Amino acid sequence: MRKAALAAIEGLLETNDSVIFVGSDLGAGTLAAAKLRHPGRVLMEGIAEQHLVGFAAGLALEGYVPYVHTIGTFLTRRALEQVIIDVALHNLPVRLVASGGGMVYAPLGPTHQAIDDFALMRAIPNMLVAAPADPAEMTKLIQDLATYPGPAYIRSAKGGEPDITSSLQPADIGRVRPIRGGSKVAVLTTGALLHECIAAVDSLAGTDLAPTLVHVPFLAPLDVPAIEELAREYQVLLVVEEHLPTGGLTTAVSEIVATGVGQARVIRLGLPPMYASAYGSQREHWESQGLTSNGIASSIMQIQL
Amino acid sequence: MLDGRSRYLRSLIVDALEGGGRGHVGSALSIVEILRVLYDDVLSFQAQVPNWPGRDRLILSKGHGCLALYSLLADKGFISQEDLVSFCRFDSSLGGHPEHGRVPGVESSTGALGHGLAIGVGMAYAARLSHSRHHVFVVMGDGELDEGSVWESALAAGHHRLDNLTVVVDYNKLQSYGPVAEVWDLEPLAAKWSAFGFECTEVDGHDIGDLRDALSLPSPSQHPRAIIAHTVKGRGVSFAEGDPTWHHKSNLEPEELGALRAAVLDA
Repeated sequence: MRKAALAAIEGLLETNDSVIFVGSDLGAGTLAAAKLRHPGRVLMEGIAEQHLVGFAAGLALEGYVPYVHTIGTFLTRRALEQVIIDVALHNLPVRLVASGGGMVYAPLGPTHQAIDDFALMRAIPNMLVAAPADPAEMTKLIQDLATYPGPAYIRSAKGGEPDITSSLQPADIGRVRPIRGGSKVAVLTTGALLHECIAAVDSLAGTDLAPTLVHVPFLAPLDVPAIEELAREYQVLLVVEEHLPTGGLTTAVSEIVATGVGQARVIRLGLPPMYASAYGSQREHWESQGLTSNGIASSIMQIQL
Repeated sequence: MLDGRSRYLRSLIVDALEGGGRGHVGSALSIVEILRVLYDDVLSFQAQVPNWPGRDRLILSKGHGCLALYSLLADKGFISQEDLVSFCRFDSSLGGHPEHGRVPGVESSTGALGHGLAIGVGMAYAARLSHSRHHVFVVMGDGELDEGSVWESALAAGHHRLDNLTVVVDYNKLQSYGPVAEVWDLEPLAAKWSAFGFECTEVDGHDIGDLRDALSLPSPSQHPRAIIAHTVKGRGVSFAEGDPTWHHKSNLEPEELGALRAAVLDA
């Protein structure tokens, strides 16, 4: 998915003179050809996220559309004040393209695990917060953001995600994407876990338990009417997220349900409220928290209606 | 002795202080001459077309010194005298830190320290990329230089050889708590900027001729410039000069405002 993001940005550099890429000490050779092809518009800057976000705001104040790319935690934690003041308060079209969303960097430990990024970015007025599920969705989003007027945070996953969305209707910014139809229970998820949720839901196809599945690529702006409708039509909304309990998709959904719009209960399946105490792989962490297809299907079956 | 124009600009600051009943007094008074020379002699701008593309950009990174900026913006016609006296009121466009989009002529919202230089580096880089000839000035406080982000941006400006960027440091040697040298000594300050790739000069920050000479110099080829302006915090108000308690004042009483006005007329 990160490769898709970089390829889409490389494409934009060809077609849109306003687009600038700003990387922070990325891997050797990243966008090397584009750097030669577009002098001055592909920057590989130092390890200075506070500066880079403010620098990008300066570029945007002059009419450019900078795509800033580095590891998610460094953008959301290290540069938080610059994101809030320099970018969001000015409502500038700066794109924060974060690699390593969720537990992608599990083996590197808690300093690199973006498990609070939704909470930090959702708290910021004007900020678009997105978690594409596959490379096709990432590509479309990066392209759409070339003309989106405000700031945006994009959580990228590990790479190698199977294609899910290219056969769907094109999605608009801020809209949910219905994936499967069912009854009584609606599963809502975002980002790379969509694939696991599809497998879980499909394993229950043809049974009374077969739920609806909705992908929520945008945590902000949130598709409030769609979630209100789900809260009215279903008994349970099961939110599956690769995030801490506070401030993520479950919180976003609960804020809507809490207005009394429907009778649905909200149940959460996600990361526990702690920093990871193990290394290993992202998938091992998913398995340990019941976030793979088997665990998700098991959670659905245990729901008391 | 200050000349009539410097006294007049300070009287505008007192007008705003009267209107709002509060403000960063000492922090504004130390940069009046820096901003005066920039607006009178250096910057290209069109007050009636604040976003004129060819304008030079000025970022007041020490946003708490905004009363001095507001006095120049009122003097030049970006904002009105009525705006000035509405300072900090509920429906005013002028707050205790300047906001882009609310105040004509304010290029960037500032207030949290250590942000302005990064934005200025972005603007200067953008100007070079678009082959624009305007210049970017960033006015910073000395206490602000404690922020690590400043030195990230300094490193970037030197690396990119942004010769369309000038930093002016208001070196009044007094931060909120007390003397800069006692909080965190900045010396050797000129050597720091030079080491980061800036061509550095030092001036008397209240001497109009000195400032005019330094700010009007042709850009050093392939280097950003840093001008360390030696100033006095509270300059022009004898009882506030060098007194950290005048860094910021709230609930200004009528007699204090009267004393301020008398002091600036006599400065």
